[in-house]
Amino acid sequence: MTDNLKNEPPSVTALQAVHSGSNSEIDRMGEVDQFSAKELERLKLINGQKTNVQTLNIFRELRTQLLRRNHKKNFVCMITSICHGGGTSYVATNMASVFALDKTKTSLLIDANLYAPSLDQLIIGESGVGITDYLSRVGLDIKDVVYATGVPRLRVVPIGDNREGAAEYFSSEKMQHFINEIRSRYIDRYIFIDSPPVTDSSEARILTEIADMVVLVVPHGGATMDQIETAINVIGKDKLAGLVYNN
Amino acid sequence: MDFALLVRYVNVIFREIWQRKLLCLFGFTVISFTVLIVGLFWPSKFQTSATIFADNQNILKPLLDKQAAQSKVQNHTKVVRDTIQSPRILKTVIDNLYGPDGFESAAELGLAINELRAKVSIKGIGAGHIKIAYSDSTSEDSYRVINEVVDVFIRASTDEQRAESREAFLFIDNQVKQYKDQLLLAEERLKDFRSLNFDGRDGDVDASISRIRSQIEELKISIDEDNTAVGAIKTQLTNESEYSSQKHKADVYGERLGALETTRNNLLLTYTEDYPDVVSLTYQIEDIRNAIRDAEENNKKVGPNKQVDKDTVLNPLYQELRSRLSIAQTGMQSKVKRLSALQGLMGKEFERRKRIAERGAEESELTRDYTVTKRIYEDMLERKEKARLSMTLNIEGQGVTYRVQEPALPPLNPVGLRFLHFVLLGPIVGLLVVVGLVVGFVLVDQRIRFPERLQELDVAILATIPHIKTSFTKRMVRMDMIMCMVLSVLIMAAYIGLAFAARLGMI
Repeated sequence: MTDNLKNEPPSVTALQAVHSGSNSEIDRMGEVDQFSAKELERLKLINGQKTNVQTLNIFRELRTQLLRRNHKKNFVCMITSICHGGGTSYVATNMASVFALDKTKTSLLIDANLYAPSLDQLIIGESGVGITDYLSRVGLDIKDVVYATGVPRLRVVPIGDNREGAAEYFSSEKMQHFINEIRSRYIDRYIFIDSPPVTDSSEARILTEIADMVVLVVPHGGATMDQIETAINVIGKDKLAGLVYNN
Repeated sequence: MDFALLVRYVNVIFREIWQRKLLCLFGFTVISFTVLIVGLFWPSKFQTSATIFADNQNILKPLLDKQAAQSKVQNHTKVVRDTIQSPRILKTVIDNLYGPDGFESAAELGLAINELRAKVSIKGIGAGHIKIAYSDSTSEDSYRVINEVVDVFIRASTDEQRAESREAFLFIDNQVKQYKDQLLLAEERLKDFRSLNFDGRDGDVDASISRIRSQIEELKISIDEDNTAVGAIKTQLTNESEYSSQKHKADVYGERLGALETTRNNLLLTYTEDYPDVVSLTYQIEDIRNAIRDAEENNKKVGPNKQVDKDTVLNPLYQELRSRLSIAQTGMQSKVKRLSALQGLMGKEFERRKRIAERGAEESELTRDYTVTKRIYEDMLERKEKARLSMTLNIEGQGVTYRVQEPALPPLNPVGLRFLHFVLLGPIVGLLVVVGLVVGFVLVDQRIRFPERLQELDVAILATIPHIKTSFTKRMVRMDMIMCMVLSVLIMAAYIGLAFAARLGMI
């Protein structure tokens, strides 16, 4: 993110929503205006050179661990929490961002957090149809639901408008197909799913099946040991990559 | 718990407080103002105390020292406390303070009594000194009530003392009466016994027997003496003739004749025969010669052992001896008679002694009864007089056991918490309660606040993400802080204002 435009006012950056995903070259992926430092800060997004080195290093370490776990192949990682407001979106966004910091990698963030979708804010401009629309409607292409963001090499699939019956959509073959599709299109694309709390929602459990690995976010003062153990049992130890304690 | 952990705990607690800052501020405000309001209505307490001294004396003890064992009072404080806290004393105090009709219902009276009991405290301060303390909302009330309590207690204990000594007296009096009855009964029995048995006692009989015996001895000796005397007299009598002979007469005449002849011869030496005195003497001589002749003739005629004629006389010695003999014999006879009487008496005495010995056991029992009862009766009589004296002393108020050592003084300053204390305490209590509640919440709440705990799980911990401070959140925090400080200042201003207003009497 060396080309970060520092002095650009935030309002100017919101130009248009450019659908992406159709390009085969990473560098040629349709980039829109990038977030300014202030916006990054407001969105609590890490960036490559900014002041918050400690957090950046923590996410880098996290990235290393996940890559090591999956033998440096690309993966589908679901990020879930114990309870609502556990900081899943924050962790998911930053994880996606830290993967995207590597210029040889891109990351795709799927917003499956039906109850508190928040990834729209990453998209510069208006967000339109999302994953639920894609799954429920016929005739939408994958590229229709993948949006570019203010972060280079980071793409977002928003939740969309058709949220009823999401559990059924997520367990559908179309969902499986969708994941396989976006995963196989770029071998250096890392997919992150921002999921609802695992103990609270059936969607999260279904999404666990789809994901290669699961990161469980434990919020500060938000979960008891019993709840954590229940969540671990629900996810299954083979899928669980580990815990992230969110202060 | 080492220091680092403590710091982390403090951080966690601060974070929890910060997360609930408005709630905490609200709680702090409510608690502080509650304390202030409590302080506003907190009654000031005026405490006063009096010290009484307990004399370790008992009326009954000196009276009954040997006769009866006395229980010794050891714990004066307990006695005083029990007495003062007894409903009787408390009710008297209440009646004295509020009048006998001061309360409408018995329940109210009971409440008042209980309240008084709770407010009066009795504490032993050693060596028979007992401190009675009382606290009330005003100085006057406090002083009035404590004086009343002490007065009523002292009076009651004095009355009790008097009652005690009176009871002691009555008890002893009663005992004396009983013993008197017993004594009379014993006396009566003894009298009855003696009236039925005239034999008297052992000693009497012995004395009587010895007396009789000595009399008998004396009599025997006397009779012996008399016997000897009678024998001697009888011997004398045999030697003595009953009558004296005429010869004696002639002898008398012969002596007279000799005397006359001597006188005539003496006269003839100087005078002639014709001298009248000589002539007279010659005649006289002649007469006597004639008389002698007659007497001799009489003797020749009568001879010895012949009937006494008119000239024979009884022998006076003989007479005397005879009369003596008679007297001696009479005396002896009476003595012999007396001796036999005495011997009979002695026999009777011996019989009497036998009877006495037979009844001796019974009598000695009766006598013993009588003696013992009499001794105790006399003793009790003495004690009764002592008891009467003690009672009199008590009635005059001399033997009081409790006296006021240090009278109560009207208290000048209230004790305990004052309004200022509450004003100062309010914020402190508020802060402590809020922090305490948060600490308690953190300790009780099972939710994880320390990432180390996750290590207990058999799952990798990928990362611990610190709290992100963006400039926006920093600004927010700063604004929150300013808001909180402003709120705090406002709250404290209101608090201090309220406190001052209350202090100045505006509320």
